[in-house]
Amino acid sequence: MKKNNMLAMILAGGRGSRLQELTTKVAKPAVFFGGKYRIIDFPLSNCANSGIQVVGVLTQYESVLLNSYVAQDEKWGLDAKNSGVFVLPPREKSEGFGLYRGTADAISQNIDFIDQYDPEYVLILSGDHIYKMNYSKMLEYHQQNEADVTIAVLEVTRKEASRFGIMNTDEQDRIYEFEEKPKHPKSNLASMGIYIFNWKLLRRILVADAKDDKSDHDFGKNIIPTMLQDGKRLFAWRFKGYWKDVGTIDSLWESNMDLLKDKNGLGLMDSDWRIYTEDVAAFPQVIQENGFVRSSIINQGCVIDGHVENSVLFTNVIVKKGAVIKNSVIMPNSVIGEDAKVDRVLVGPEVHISAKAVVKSKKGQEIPLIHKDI
Amino acid sequence: MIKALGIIKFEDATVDVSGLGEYRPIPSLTFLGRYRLIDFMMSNLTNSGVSHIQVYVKNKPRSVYEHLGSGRSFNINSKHGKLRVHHGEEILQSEAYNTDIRAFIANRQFIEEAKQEDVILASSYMVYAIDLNKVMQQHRKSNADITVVYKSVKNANESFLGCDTFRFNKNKRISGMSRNLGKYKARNISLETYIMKKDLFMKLCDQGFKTSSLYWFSNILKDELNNLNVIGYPHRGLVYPINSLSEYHKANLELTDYNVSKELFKASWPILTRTSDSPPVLYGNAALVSNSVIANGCAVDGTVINSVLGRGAIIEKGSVVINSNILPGARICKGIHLEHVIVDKNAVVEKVNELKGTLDSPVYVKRRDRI
Repeated sequence: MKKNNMLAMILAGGRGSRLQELTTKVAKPAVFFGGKYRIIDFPLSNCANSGIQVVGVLTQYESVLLNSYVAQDEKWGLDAKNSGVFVLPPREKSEGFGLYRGTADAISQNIDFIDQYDPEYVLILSGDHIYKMNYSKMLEYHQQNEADVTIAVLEVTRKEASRFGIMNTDEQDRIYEFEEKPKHPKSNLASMGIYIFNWKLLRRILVADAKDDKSDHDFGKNIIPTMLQDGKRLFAWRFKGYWKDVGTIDSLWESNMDLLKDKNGLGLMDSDWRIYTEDVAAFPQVIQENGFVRSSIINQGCVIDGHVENSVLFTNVIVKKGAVIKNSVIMPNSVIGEDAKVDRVLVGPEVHISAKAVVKSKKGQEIPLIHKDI
Repeated sequence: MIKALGIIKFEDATVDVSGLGEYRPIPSLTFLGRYRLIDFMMSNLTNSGVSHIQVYVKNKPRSVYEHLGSGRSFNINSKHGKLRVHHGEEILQSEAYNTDIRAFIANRQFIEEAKQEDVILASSYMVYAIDLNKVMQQHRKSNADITVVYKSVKNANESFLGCDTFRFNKNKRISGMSRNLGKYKARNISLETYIMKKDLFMKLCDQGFKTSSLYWFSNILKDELNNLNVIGYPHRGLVYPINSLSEYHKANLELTDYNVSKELFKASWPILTRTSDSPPVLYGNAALVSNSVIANGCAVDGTVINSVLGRGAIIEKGSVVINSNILPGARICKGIHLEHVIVDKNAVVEKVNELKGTLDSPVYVKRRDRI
């Protein structure tokens, strides 16, 4: 440990059931994003790039793939002697076997893990958001304010505000009130689910919360309100940049499409803050004789002899002659057959769209997930 | 799984990739946008189960060290495998003394210490994919002292110039060796992959060194053909000898045809390389691309035909790249027209409007140059 004395815990246990069949066999943080990545690559790379040495990943739902994926810590450069990524699924203890009952409970059940490293600060992250953030900047802000908790917030429109947890703050951005999905929001600062806690304090509160039968053991519902009640110093840290919760097929499709915009704010091409992911031994992509690609993001291993426009193609996608793909996201190893037409859909991994098939949706409709061969 | 020590040797002076070769040793040449030449032999060895490998570098070893690292990207087990990079540490009076034999003798200790009884000796400038288990099987069956991989080619008059060629006697034994001077079309070209006992290998090195301090391994092999049972193993797949700039250029362009490249790049035989964590390719709204191989990290908004783009290359709107090889990190600016051009790493082509070479003599733009 050491360096900035902050340990990160990533909450990655959720199923993400609104992602439909994409999460039947993998947890939401392991869902593909951006042509090459999985969602959890973003918080993990942010950690590595922010100089955090130790990261715990709390997994629960369908965690086999996620656990093995995350455990290879050399992918993110978190493999020095005193650093690492540690997979923390629920485990059997002398008190019995306990599933994680809530976000706070997941941390409570791993107090022993955190104590081993004796960090001064603990950073709590969510494993299913797309953004680039320098957590060490947030820590500086936390230290300057002599805060007990710092919560990263995003300025949203008043209309959107009622979908988020909203932080009401004074002029110094000190938080005096937290409202979950308020009907009449008083501020537009939405919580991003990113918290820096002083570990000693959080530890005390978690131990007490674990014993409280009435608690939901949730950071937003229980831990933050308790701290506000106790008069602790909570500060909002304003984040400027691209951030997206890819909770639904629509938002997953949309945020992939966002990458095609000129100034999307995420800056995937920016090599100063790389997003790391697994290394695949695939051939570079080939655009063949009849290939046509425009306004698209395409990853290695793709073999393209058809027409691809305004789309995101993941590793090893094959587009046969005469096929036309527009406004779509095609996940790894899928094949688009000859003369097939694909427009405004999200095609899952390993799906075979047969020759001449037509899969489409209209503007305004929800984006269909194509997860079975057609 | 082969229990043999893999040795990748450096090439002699017949291999001269002018321009590109001035900045890095041959094994580090970027190939097909994403790879380096040595990846092919490294993958041949590790895919065949060889876990102890020594790489010998003639000079400028920095890029080789950087690329190979601990061998992790090449599937070399960190505890049960071993990758060593050796480069000349002696001060030589002349580059002519810098032979493969001298390098092996200087590192005798590391070769003799290795637990493996056999060695697989190979070169990195020949690009091909081969399962060495099959070569080893034939080697054992035939009771050969040495087995050498060769390829029968029909274009030796225009390619493979300077490579060793073999003649066989009736028993399929190699009876003669000579350099390919380009006089004939049909030749049996040595692919410079040899299997033999380690003791024999060291014995031949010593003998060669005693005979002449200018001797290379292939020289002593030629001298000993009558005393040793040297058998050929025919390789049927694609082979590209990267021993000149035009061979380099041709090989890259030929492999932009996926019907050709899929012979060399099979899912069952991955060509391993070091990741650079580049994002996927971003195509702009003016991109027009066909018959091209494009590595990750590129941003393409111009016209690209029959070309190879290396990692992180940038092709700006309005530029035209035909039959060219753009190496990693190079930038082709607005309105530039390139045909048969090799643009070395991180070079920027901005001010000259047009560069035109030919298949046999491509134009070369230097590394980090701005023109």
